Parts: sequence; C-alpha cells; structure tokens
Amino acid sequence: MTERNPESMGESNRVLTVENLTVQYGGVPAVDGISFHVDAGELVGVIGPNGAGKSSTLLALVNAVRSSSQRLELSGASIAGKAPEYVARHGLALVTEGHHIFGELSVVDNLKLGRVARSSAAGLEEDMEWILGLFPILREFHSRSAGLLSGGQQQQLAIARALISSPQLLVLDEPSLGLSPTAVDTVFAAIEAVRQRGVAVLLVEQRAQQAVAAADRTHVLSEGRVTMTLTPSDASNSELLTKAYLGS
Amino acid sequence: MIPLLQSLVDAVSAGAIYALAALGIGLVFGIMRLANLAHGEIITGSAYTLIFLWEFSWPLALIASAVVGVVIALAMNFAVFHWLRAQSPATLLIASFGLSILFQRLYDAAFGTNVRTAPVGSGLSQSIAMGGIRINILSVITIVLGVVLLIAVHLFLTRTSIGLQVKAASSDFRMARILGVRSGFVIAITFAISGLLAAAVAFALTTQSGAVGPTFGVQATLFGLVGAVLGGLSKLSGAVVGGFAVGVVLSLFTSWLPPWANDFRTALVYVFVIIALVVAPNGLLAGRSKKDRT
Repeated sequence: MTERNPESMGESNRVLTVENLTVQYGGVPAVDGISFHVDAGELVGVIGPNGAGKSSTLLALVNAVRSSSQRLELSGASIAGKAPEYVARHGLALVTEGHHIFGELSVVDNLKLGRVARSSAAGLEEDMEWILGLFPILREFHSRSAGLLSGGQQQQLAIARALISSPQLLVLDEPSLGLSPTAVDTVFAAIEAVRQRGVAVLLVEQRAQQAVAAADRTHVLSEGRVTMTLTPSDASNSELLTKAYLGS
Repeated sequence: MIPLLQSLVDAVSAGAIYALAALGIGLVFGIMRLANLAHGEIITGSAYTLIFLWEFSWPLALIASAVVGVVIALAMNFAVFHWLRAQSPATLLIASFGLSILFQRLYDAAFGTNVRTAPVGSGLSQSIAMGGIRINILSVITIVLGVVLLIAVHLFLTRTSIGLQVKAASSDFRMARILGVRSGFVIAITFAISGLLAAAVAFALTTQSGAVGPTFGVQATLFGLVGAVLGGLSKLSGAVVGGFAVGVVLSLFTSWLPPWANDFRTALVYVFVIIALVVAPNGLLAGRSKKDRT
C-alpha cells in the first residue's frame, strides 16, 4: 500500500470509473445507467433503501453479475467483462454483504487467502502488522475457526483479508450490518485508517448519517439511479437524509 | 482368532481402496458439485496402462499409469465439465454418465471386450508369516498406499496455498473468485489429484485381479460414490470415512457370510447403506452443502 496524496485529484488519479452501468435481472433493471468515480485516497459513499441496486452495483464491478456499461475502468484499464479473479488481482478488493468468511478455516488461513490477489510479497509483513493493529482481535484469535467468531469479528476478518491483497480500491458492502455499536465503531475507525493510508474506499452503507459524514461524497441510489449526491456537511441535515431515503 | 485378524487386515485394505475412490470423487464434488460417474473410466485407463506396460518395465508402468490417470481426468474437465460449470448438479451428473459410457465403448473398441491380463505386482501377492498368522503383503501395501495418499492430500489441502484455494473454492466458489482465486486453475488441480487417486485405486485393484476389461473401474466408483454419500459428500473427511466403511463391510461380508448368502453380499452392502442413510440422511459425518458455480 503506497502512500498517495489525496489532495491532487484528476483523471490521472482516478482509481475507479463507472459510466452508464446497467444491471438487469430477467429484464428488470436493478441498476439503471449509473455513473460515478472514485479517486485515489477518496472515500465515496453509496446509500439508499433496500433494493435500490447498491449490492448489484458492487457485484457488477467484479463481474459476479452480468452488467453492461460504457466504461468500467480500474486505474485506467478496462475491467468490463473480466472474471472476478482478474479484477481482484488488479487491485479491487470487495468485501461482500454478510462478510462471507470461510467458517471452517482458521482465522490465519482466511487471512492467507487474502494474499492470493496480492501482486507482490514485498511489504507484506508491514501491511500485516498494520492490519492486525487495526483489528487486534484477529491476532488474539488467529488459530481459531473463523466460524466461531462473532458477527463483528467476522466482519473485521473479512475487511482484514481484503486489505492483505494490498488493493488500490477497497469496496465494502454494508460492513456495519447486524453489528453491535462497538463493532460498528471499530469498523468505521478502520475505514478511516484505510483512507488515511491512501487506499481509495467505496462504501455502501445503511447507516446514512455515519456514511455521509465519513465520505468525501455520498451518492444516493434509488430504483437503480443516482438521485442525489451529498457532502459531509449534509450529514447533520436529517430532513435531507430522510428525503434521500424516501424520495421527494 | 487367526482368521479374524487376517480378515480384518483384508477388510482394512479394501476400505483403503474405497476410501481413495471416495476421496477422488469427493474432491471433485466439493469444487464442482459433480458426482463424477466417469471416475471409474479414469481408473480403467490407468489400469490398462499398468497391464500393457508392466512386463516391459514396472517402474515405467507405475509412472505412466499415474500420468494417464491425470491426463484423462484433465481431458474430461477441459472437454466436457469446464463448459458445464455453471449448470446444475443434475446436468453435470448426466454428462458424467454419458462420458462414462463413451469411455467404456472406446476401451471396448480399442482393447476388446475380453479382459487383458498381466501379472501386475505378482511378487506382492505372497503372504508373510507373523507369529503364526499369515498376512498378505498386498493388503499391507494397499493400506500403506492409502494412508500415505490420504495424508498427502490432507497436507496439500491444509498446508499449501493452492490447497487452501481449493478448500476455499469448495466452500464458497464465488467468494473465492472475488478474492482472486483462479477458478479454472483450482478446478484443473482438483481433477488432476482425482486422476492421481484413480491411478492409485487402479494399481491396488489390478494387483489383486491382474485382469482389466472396459468396465473395470465401474464397481470401485459405485462403491466409492456410495461410500462418499454415506459419509457425507459435502465434507471430504465424511467421504473418506464412508468409502472406508463400505470397503470394510464388503470385505467382511465376503469372508464371513455363509456360502449360500455370499452371492448377496453386494445387495447386503446396499441394505447397510440404506439403513445408514435413513438414520443420517445427509451422511454419517454431515456438513453443510451449497452453492452455485457462478
């Protein structure tokens, strides 16, 4: 994970470009031509009610669902139609909703799987130290079966596993879902630390206020379209957030 | 109690063979949700190789049979199963059934319906006397082979990065890909290992009979599959234990049943399996089962 300067924006710093992305299930659009981008060092949020197309958008990025788009680029190279493993090995780490850790494997083995997508072993130990610093519980439970961890600990493991791949872009799908308030704080603190380190983050969240406050900008998704884009100053405007969720 | 000990050694040896067959089937099932009925034709291909090459050079025969097992398994994957990866387990099963018949016809056309014979491992079919009892060397070698291969596969799956990727893909295929696991590669590796295990089964069975025909591998595959289902196909340890149990029971029936009942020993094995599955429908060592191949 190389340090990047979050101040200098522009096309050359663009990590993710999504233009006119559409996902359909049986002819019904779940994502209906959305466009957005994430620059290096940015934290971009996506909020919206259930069924707005948030998860479909993320799965489309790694081609785990069929999609069409004008442009789908990771650091300037097209990832449209590429296999999920290709996208992972080119720097996009997706933590899916429900964290999907391998319950029958140990915590350590789960973490080792994060190395699969890593392009080089250089810096692995430092990254590992940093990641275990973010989630000390994983060090403590390293030999335990991952399935025996609590929901919050499994989420930490899933994020840690994604970070070990040393991604350019960390994509999180509702990381706080079903977690205790303490666990939510740990996860959000980790997301902030990741951004501080220069890794771009795309965060899908149900906790609208927390997401909007943390993100550089937050797109509101409704019925597969971006209906609004919010800035951190909107986080305290609960009327606006309610409108964003319920539609005007 | 001398015959008891001898029959127990034979039973463990038979158990080892079917445990290897069940492991080969279980590995592929884990990653593909494919109950590969054509596993038997991999065994047959390796067995023919042993028969044809044994008298020329036995080390060459052993190596070649392992290579042939791996090549046939990979060929089945790339020619057929690779293209059906996203299909349902039922489609995969039927495809493997067709492939099994096709290979049997090919063997028939190439080598004839009659069995081909060679004294494969004839030096091993002697018995050694140990403290008054006689133990078949071949049974001991089969047990050792089985144990060594089971440990090797276990170490591969738990101690190597590729093995870990195979386990991950078996558990949650889509998540493994999202983590960067190359789906085509781990599937090919799994088929290659199942081919190696089939070659080991071919060796154990060929040394016993010395004769190979076009349907040589069918019985071992059926018992291996039944054993794997008995133990629980969703968990490799279950498949191995189930395959072992079927082999042991089959062998004990062969040595202990009175002559009039011996013809029914295969049927009795299935009765045993049916009872076990009524008691534990998901297998004796059931794990969870899932998932799609997207």
